[in-house]
Order: sequence, then C-alpha cells, then structure tokens
Amino acid sequence: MDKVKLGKEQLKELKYFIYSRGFREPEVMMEILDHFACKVEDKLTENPLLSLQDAIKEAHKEFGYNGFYSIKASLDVFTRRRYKRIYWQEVKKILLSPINLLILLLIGLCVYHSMKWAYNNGFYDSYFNRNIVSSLIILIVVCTELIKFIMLPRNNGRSYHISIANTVNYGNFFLFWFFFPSRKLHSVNEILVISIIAVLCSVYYYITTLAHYKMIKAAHKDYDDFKVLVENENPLQ
Amino acid sequence: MEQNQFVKGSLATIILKLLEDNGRMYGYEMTKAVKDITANRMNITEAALYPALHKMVADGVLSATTELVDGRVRKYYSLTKKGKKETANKISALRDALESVQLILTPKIANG
Repeated sequence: MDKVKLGKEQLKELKYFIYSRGFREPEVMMEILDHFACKVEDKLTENPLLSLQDAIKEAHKEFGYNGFYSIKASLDVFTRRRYKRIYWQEVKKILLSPINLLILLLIGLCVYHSMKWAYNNGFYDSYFNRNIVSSLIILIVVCTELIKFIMLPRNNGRSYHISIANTVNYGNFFLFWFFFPSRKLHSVNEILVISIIAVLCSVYYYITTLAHYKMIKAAHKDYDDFKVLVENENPLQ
Repeated sequence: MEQNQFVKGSLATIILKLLEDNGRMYGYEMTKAVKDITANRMNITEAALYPALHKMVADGVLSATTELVDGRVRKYYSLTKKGKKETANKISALRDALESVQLILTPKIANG
C-alpha cells in the first residue's frame, strides 16, 4: 500500500490544530509539526477511509495527557541552556583573549587613576554631588545601553526572546548607581575602596556587555537560519 | 507502567544504538524503529523522547540538522564524536546491568 503524504492544504489544517492548542511560536510549531504529520500520515495509510479530522484527533490522543506540551517544555529548557552556554563561552573567550585582556587592563588602570585623581582634587558634579569620573562612567553606561537598545538586531523569534530573558544585563547600570556614592570622600582608604569597586564594575560591565552582544547575535543567526527553512514567517501560511 | 519505567531508564542508550546503526534519524523515525524492532512490545512516547533528544544535543552527544522535507521542517539527529565514544560505554553498561538482573531473576541450581 502506498504511503499517504500530506499536501500543503492538509498541512495547513494540522498547523491550525497545533495553533488552536496554544502553540503559536513558529519554532515550537515546526518542532511539533513533522512528528504530528508523520503520525497522521500513518493513520491515513493504515485506514484510507479515515477523514483527516479523525486522523488528527487520533494522532493527538497518542501524544498523551499533556499533548504537545511536553515537546514545548523540553524545547524551552534546551533553548535556555543553549544560550546560557553561548553566553558563558563568550565570557571565557573574552577572558582568554590577549586583546580583550589588554583592553580590560587599560580600562582598569584608566578608571582607577582617574577616580583617585578626581577624589583627591575634589572634582564633584554640582547636580548629584558625585565624583565627576563616577558620573562620567554612569553616563557612558547609560549611553551604551541606549545604543544597544537601538542598534542590536531584533526579531520576533522565540530564540531571541529566550536569549534576552536569559541574561541579567539590563540591570547592570544600577550597579554603578548603587556603588558609587553621591557624597564627598576624604579618607584615603575609602577613596581606595571606591576606586577598586569602580574598576571591578567597569571590567564586569565590559565583559557582560560583549558576551551579551555575541549571544544576541547567535540568537539572531539561529532565527535567520530558521527563516531560510520556512518559506514564510507566518506559521499558518 | 513497569515497562515504561524500564524504557525511560535505558532511553539514551536506545537512541545512541539506533543512531549508530542508522547514521541519522528524525524523532518519529526513532519511535517507529523501536516499535518495529520490538514487534510493538516497546513504545517510546513523545513526552520521553524529545526531552531526551534535547538533553543529548545540549550535552554535545548528538547534533541536530534541519531540512525541509515534504513541506515541513524535519530535524535529523546524528552522533557527534563524543556520542560515538559514549555509545560503546552505554551499551556495555546496559548489557552488564541486564546480565546482573538476569542473575537475580534466574534461580540458582544448587550443586550436589
């Protein structure tokens, strides 16, 4: 007996069925669709008198009590783990790259000496009463976050949203606000501690920002590869 | 139920063996292969198969490639270098475990 192959219109019905069950993200739908379609094709081959709707219902029953949910849940966990791994691999790469280490050293030295210089010479901004170098660093961080927001590639893909939700990068600049005191410092020890904290914060910010950027790019590439495979972005077409 | 627990415990080994024998396979093909080989005595559910496949890909044991087949995206799984090494170890570990269980289940014939 010839094996039944589902046509475009029949596949569309399957997609509607998956969609109606609440699985609307294209990547999730595509993960479910092939397995589901194979099952339906087998049902129709075994019993040629079966209607497509009945074959769909029977095939769906075989997925068990949770239906398609187990596939989606597993895919979510896997995607989260994938981007977390990419993020930490990038952090490792940065820490092992001589160019990045040199940049980090320069940032560290620059921040440390300029902080000490500003405190010792009493350079405070008149609005926040904060060391002028601290204010400058906070301004650089805010600008970087704005540039990231405007320039970073964006898409509606699941991988993109999961990768964004994966990292704590958006709250980074509050670190600086919290750690850099808005008062005048006089004690040598206090100035030393704050300067070291400023160096650590700046180095941490550089590493996490770069790793975050690389991870978002990887998520974007995944989505582009996926889009090449599926003809249209609309999962119902 | 008992059989399901047994399948769950040895699912990774089953997947590795199937891929060692067939090169690359997709999810549904694996469930079908298990059914055919065991003459319908063993059934791998989607709820067990996909988490196992996703975990094995994340662990670097399997690699996944996607292709457009019959108008839909199909994900093929195959063994990585690490996966090939792990297959032999897992199979021998499962064989040892089965032999041990067999020893317990088979009554001993007393000498003399």
